[in-house]
Amino acid sequence: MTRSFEAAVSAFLLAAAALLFAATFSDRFDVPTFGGDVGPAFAPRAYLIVWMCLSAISLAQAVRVTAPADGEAANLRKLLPVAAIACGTGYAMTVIGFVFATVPGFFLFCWAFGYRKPFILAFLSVAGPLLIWALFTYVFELLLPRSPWFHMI
Amino acid sequence: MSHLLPAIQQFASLEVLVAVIVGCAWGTVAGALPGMGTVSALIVALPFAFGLSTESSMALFLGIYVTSVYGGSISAILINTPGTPQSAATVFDGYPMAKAGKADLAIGWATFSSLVGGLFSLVILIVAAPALARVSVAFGPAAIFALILFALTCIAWVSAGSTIKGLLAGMIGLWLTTIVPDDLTGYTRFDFGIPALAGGLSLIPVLIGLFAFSEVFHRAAFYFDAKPPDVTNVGFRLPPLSEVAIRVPQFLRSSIIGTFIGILPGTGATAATFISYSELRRTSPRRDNFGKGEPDGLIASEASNNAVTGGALIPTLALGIPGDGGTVVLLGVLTIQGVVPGFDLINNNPQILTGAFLVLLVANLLMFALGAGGARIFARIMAVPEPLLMGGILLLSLVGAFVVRGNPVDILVAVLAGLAGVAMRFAGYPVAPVVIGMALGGTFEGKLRQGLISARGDFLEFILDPLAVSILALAVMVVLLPTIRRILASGRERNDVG
Repeated sequence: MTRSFEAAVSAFLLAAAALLFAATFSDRFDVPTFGGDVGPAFAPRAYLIVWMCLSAISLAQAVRVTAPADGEAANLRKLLPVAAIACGTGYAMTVIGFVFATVPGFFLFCWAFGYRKPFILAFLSVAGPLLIWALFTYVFELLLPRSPWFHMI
Repeated sequence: MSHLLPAIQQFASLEVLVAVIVGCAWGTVAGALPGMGTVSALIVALPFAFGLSTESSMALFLGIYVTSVYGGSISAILINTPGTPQSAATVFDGYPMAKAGKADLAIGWATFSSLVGGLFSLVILIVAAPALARVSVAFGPAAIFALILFALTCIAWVSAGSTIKGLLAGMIGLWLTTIVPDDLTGYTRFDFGIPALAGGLSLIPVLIGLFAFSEVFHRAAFYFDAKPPDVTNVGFRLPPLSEVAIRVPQFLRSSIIGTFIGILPGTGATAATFISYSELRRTSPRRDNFGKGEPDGLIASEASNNAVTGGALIPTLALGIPGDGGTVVLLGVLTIQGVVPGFDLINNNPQILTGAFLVLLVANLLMFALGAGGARIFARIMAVPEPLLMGGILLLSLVGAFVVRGNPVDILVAVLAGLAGVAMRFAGYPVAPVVIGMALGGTFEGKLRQGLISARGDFLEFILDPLAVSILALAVMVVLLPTIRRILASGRERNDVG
């Protein structure tokens, strides 16, 4: 990845730490303490101060270095759809349940990743999630997220 | 010894046997698959921890932990690609042996060396863990606070990439533990008005996201549709006894290096492997053959990386302080099963600890048997298409994130942690310190505040515990060591010039 990405991540971390640090001075953290206790704001403030210092140093290092970063470039055209499908499958699981989310999710994920054997993939996309669902539901007796339409699935 | 019989009674069941066999088989396969690694192998199995008994869970996860390190050697030898970073040095001599038509012998050396390293560190673990756990009772809040600070310093200092980024990642992990209702006052911190955050962040979904999801995303970013590796003509051949006998000092040296480095938080098997390899290349009578298929090179790598497993379990089981991502998962499994490491484990559940030792012994022996009997099968599994493998990891990781608390929000937390993890990896930030910081943060803050209350708010009185001061001095040394070395080196250069 590029140095500018490194700098952007460091800058983001610095900004996040500053905002979180400011939040520790809100009314929510204004809690009376007793008997030598430092209160609930002490540890987060300490962590965030160190976090800010370190991210500032990291940002300075990323900005100062002019040499290009090592390694090959990431294939964002593959990463972005794969990440989007993974996120979408995760979110869909919370709405329509494990089986209904993961059957299409697995198919699309593997396809986006580069697997190009549709019949094998279609079979695995149905068999894999159903096997996991059956294992957890009937063997371990742990219910996975369910759809709003059926009692068990 | 008095706990041996109760431990055997408790652990001797078909379920435990099946769990350890499945764990060892999965660990070896996952280790052999380039890109999976120990932590991903453990994470994929996490959902099963909720459906298994304590004994079976320990058998499953310890089996994976031990064998995944060994599994990496198979792909290192056969396809010149280490399955795990811990096996990177195995490539140097394993692949040349395979190219010379002695792949079976190379796997034999790697398997035997892994067994020696694993058993050596197990003996040290059996002796050291109970003793350290008993001593840990003397650790007051200040000493535990200092110990965690020392562990975090070590972890950040040796983590891959820059030290600053390692420290920063550890600090983010510590901060994440403050998203939880405060123990002493009951006030909720950093929930941002989101009800789902009021109960705090669970470690497991973050761990799954940072390791498993980020690995999946990272591999997608660098995936190319390669031809499956040619892994025909693979077998297993034990080295002749005479060859083993002349290499006893090398076995011993590598095992000691691996065990010692395993005990140190954060250093891990990869560092142990390279230190051991360079040490044996310096001292071995056959050093001229290193890099050309010398068995000493395989011993250096494989005995040391497997010895790390026992060493790393010493602080994990005795003090509850994990040293790397793998031991964080193991600690998580113990927590899921309601087992508290440290003095409580020795005092109240000694048969569990003894059972863990027995499982480790069986896992090491099974690793040898699997290597001997299944090398050909494991080699073929390496040809599984990567997209299907990553899809499987995705499914099991989603399940793992959910079953921790049965909370759908944890699925979203895991996915978001995955995105954060891959961004961190692209920017050169190590992710292990984040989860180690999260695993230790609660105790770290708790001990600090508990100690300060005892010292009536006087920080100096709190920290002036002799044990704490000694540990903090060690932490300072760790931080200053590179600077001191640099100053000494530049002084020496000046003298040479003068």
